[in-house]
Amino acid sequence: MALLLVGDQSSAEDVVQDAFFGLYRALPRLQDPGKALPYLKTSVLNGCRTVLRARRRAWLRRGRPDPPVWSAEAAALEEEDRREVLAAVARLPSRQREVLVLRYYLNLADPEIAATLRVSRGTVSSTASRALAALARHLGEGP
Amino acid sequence: MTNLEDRLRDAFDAAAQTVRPGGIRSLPARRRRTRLPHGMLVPLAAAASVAVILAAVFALPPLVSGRAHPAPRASTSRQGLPPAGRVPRFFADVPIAGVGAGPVQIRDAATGKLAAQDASTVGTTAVAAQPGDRHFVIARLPGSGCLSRFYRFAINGSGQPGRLQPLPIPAVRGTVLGMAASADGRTLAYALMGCGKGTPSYLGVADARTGRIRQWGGVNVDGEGQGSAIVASDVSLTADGRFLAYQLTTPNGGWSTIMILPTNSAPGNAVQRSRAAASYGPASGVLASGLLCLAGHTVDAYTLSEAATIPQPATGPRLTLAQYSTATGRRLRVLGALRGLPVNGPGCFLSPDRSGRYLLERSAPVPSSSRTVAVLQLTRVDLLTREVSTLTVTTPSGQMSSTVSGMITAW
Repeated sequence: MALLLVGDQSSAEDVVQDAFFGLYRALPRLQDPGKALPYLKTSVLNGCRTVLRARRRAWLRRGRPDPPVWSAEAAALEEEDRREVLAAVARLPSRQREVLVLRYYLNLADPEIAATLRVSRGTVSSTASRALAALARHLGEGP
Repeated sequence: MTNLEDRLRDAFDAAAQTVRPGGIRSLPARRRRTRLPHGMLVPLAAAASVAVILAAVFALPPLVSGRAHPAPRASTSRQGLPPAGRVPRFFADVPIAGVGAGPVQIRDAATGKLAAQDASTVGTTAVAAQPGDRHFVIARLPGSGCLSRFYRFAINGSGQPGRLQPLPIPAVRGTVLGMAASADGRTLAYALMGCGKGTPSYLGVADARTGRIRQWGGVNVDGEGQGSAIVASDVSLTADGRFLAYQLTTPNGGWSTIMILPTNSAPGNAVQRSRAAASYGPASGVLASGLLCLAGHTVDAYTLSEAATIPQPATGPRLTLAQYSTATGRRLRVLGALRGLPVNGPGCFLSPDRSGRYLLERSAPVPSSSRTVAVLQLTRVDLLTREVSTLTVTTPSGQMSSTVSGMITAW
């Protein structure tokens, strides 16, 4: 999930590590163990947002991040079609990207996505719908 | 579901698969930032002074006299290689003589010395290690029939095997020639060679707890079976048991393709249900590059290619060990050069251990003047340090003797 949102494995590892570290610190305060996984998902999501924000602020960037997994430079994906799809996803607004990753990679239901992103279920549906429409335009697919 | 949604899922899955567990960096130690109340500083400084004095009094004499134990060396980690893993204490091997297969032998992984041999495992054709460094699963073809059965056994601290326990997996028709286990040991993958020409061969997975099996046909395992697709008998399974990896070869053995088969796909034609991950062909200056092995730890491929040196030196050809990414097909790194003996025919001659850190290369038998003893040479490669060590294995005199043509190993 982190890789799909930030693009490169190094940053994704940092985000996931921080999320687990946060969970470890929060464990004593966690009354319901069933909440650990949603907590972790939200932490990873927030961590990814932080990384992406930091990248936009060039002066905070200590080094150039690795090329994203969908770039030809990274050459991690062998099929052009997959690269094209992921590159199109990367061009979407961050909220739309998050909804697509949670829905189509983690296979979360809309209520779970809504809880993770702390938005209403209606917002999830409309965001996903807009994201798919934008993707279809980018990829030249018909309605 | 729309085509676009399918493409999205496929692209996300493919991107996620580029994450290699072996390449994940180990966690750096974090310093805790804690603030001490001012009132605590003086007592703490006093206690620290006392501790330093006590340490000096008790620790200095052994250091001076040289009796102090050396500090353990911190483990090092290189990008892209498994950061941890210790050498398994034992490995299991099965000497193969012609078409028959011998009993399982348990050997010391540091010396190659035989620790135990279990006569009840005669007829073993495939072996895989299970979690815990002490458990193995075998497939046996007992007697003259054509039904392979699966068993499990454990070894104790000195390598002595316990009683053979049948797994609840139904007997399968044919010879199980290659086997791999998932990280939790529950899922087993196997290549099943049919009995004689014209009988079907399969790739399959079995649930070691429920006994449920699923098989895919249309393959020709090691030259036997119905179907045009020739596959090498060595199969591998990802740690989570979701993907079975196998090697598809062309009839002339020139090109090899690593194929990935999702284990939840419907039974049918194995090749049609699989996707090609990477292809390898004879490159300039390389005689043979078809010797592939997939680690059970990740889905990376290891190749041994034989340098075209004519005439060959007395010490055997120079073999280059390289690691390839099955995600991109690119060569990740050359791990080292080994001196070896000509390996006969395609197949996997490399056994990764369960941690993914070590590889065991099993060579063809060393020419021996003895008619009663067969000598095999194994090479152990530490992928982290690239240290190469050689184990010389001598099979005990007996039914295998000088007809040993190779061995299968698991650790």
